[in-house]
Amino acid sequence: MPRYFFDITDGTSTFDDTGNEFADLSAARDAAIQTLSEMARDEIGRDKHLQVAVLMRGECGQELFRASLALSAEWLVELPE
Amino acid sequence: MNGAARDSDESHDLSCLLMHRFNEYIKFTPSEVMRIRALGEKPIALPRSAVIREQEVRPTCVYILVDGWAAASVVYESGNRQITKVHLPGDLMGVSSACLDLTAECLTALTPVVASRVPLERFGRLFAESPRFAAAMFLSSQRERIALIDAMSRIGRTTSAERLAALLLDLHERLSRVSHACDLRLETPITQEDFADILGMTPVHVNRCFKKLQNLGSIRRFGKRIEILDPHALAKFARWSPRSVASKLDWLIEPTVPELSGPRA
Repeated sequence: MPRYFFDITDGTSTFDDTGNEFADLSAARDAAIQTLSEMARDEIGRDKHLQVAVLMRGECGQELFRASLALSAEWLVELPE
Repeated sequence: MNGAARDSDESHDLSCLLMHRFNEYIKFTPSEVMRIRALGEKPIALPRSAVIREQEVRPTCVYILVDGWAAASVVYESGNRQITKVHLPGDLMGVSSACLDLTAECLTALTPVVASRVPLERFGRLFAESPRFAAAMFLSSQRERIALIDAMSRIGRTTSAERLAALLLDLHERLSRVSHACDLRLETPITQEDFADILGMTPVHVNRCFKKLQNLGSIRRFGKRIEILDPHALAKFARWSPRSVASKLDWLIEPTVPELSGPRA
């Protein structure tokens, strides 16, 4: 099975030098998208802003797919001191 | 799985494994040991990924895992699976489905395995013959329930990296009990995909969580060998602590049973 590499950005950037095997491109893409939601679940609530992104590369290093997920939250009322 | 003939050496090995599990709660008499030795059929070797028992079939037996790692998992029509229990040598497999018309989980070999089948009738007969065996099984079942309670609370209230850390500590503790874990090194003969199916996340996220634990300085990883560098820090990070088995069980089990007759072990 082909190996794909997933570089993650969540405030800091993590270069993936291990990778994971998937049956095809579309299975790898599905995993990339699902990983974003899993990362968001871990990180959400810690800050009012959240941005996580994944860049998927192939075995030769070619960039194949990119996805990101963002949360922006703000109060609409003045908070008591 | 098929098999009928029993070999005395093999059944002795089986009984040692099972004794190890049950001795947490109870010290069996020689005649009880002999009865437990007779439980399993001749062990059979199966390759990695072999289905030991299907999901949604009539349960007719339970299994003793003699060697290797196996998974109890719920398999969905999409092909996705959730591993609900990683079985290690000495574990009884498939017991929970004995209360159902159709099995709730599939038993699969995560590595090459050796397993022994125990027909439910034989298993049930031992319950009738030995209330102390029944008591040990009852306690063992409750311990399985505690493991599920721990797993469920982790899924609800901890992060992915914390769940992975807890899984590593849990596996290390269980392997230590059957002497398969050397010091703080842990041989995990399972794939990243298996870890993903245990933790309910993608293998990509598992990979990332492993890196996070490595970056924290809690573990070191060489292929399938994992070394726990700082168990206290890892346990604190995972909010994990080992469960200690009740030391006072005389409400359920008589401490000693007079042995009137029967063969010596």
